[in-house]
Amino acid sequence: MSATAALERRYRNLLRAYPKVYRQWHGEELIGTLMAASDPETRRPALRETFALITGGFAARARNARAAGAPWWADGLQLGVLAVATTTFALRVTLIYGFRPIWALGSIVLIVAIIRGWVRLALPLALIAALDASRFLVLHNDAWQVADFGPAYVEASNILPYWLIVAGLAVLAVRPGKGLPTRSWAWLLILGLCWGLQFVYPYYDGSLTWMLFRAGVEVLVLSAALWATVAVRDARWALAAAVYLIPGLTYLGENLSMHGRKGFAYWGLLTLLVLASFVAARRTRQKV
Amino acid sequence: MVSSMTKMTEATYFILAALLEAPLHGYGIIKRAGDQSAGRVKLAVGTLYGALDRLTEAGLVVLDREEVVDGRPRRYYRITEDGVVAVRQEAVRLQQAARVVTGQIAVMGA
Repeated sequence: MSATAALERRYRNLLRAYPKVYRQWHGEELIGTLMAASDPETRRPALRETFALITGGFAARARNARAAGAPWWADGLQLGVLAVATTTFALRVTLIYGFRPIWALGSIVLIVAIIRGWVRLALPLALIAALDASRFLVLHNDAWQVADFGPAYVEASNILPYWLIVAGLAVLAVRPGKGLPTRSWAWLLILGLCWGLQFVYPYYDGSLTWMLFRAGVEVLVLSAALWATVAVRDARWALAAAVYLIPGLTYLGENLSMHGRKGFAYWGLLTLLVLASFVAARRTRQKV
Repeated sequence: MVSSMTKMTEATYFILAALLEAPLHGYGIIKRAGDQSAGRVKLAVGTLYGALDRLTEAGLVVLDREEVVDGRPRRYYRITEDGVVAVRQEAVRLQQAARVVTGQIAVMGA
């Protein structure tokens, strides 16, 4: 294989960092420019160009992931609400011990409604879930007379996610303008993963492996949100990350004495990433 | 409409400056930006197209025309009126910033 052909093949591999739709429109143009700008004798892309293509591809993906027709805050809020709803129901619906079919089915319908942007269906469902989850706190002894679709909680950190979903959906419901975008069905995979794990390892969520896995994913995702904020130059990802972080920080606040240095360092890092995303959004706003 | 708050990176400034004379294709922009910055701005292709996407979105650059060379599309980009205003504003800002230093050095040297 000639040096030119080898170089072009490597550039084409690097272009996979870009979304498919971008490659369809700009792919050949980029290859043409890359080949023109390269030394004809070289077989490998320069490190600087490799880095620029990978970061450029990620930035194009972040720009491509923006919801068309929705303002940045509605896009971010919908994403944040979806993240809270998915993680809350993925981790709290039990399929083996104390299985509640209406609760499980309702959670799937609610998440599908948020994914599809059907706020008018999602809001009443979320409200029922929130009222049911906080029935002991509100009704005390009379709570027994209320239909118990799902688990009831007394700690604020357990109830808050449900009301956070309601509040977010209520804001989206009164928003003037067009509907919300459809999100990826891949969100349902999180439900599938966590619910499936219950059958493999019933108490997986208390294991060190799971906690390390979840911590790693959270740090990675919030770091990606920071990077995407720099690429997109608005606060949609920062807002989504902040909404996601609220239940966790409430849990931390309610259980301060239970957390050691590692716990504070971890939550501190997540908070720092979200704050950095807001700062990045502010600093890069109107920057071209 | 260009906001007076629009901020520009050095790469963006030289990309817009490169397009002031005539529309250029990607490699043409890289070469001219390098020449006009005395070799200081060496645009990577990934960086250039990311900047062109942002500039197009901001309405400072538009696609001018497309040619096919060796079976590949070659697109020429053109600076818009808003783009000219934005790069001129940045040039004035840089000039004022430079004057602060050169003026004081002149006074010190006098």
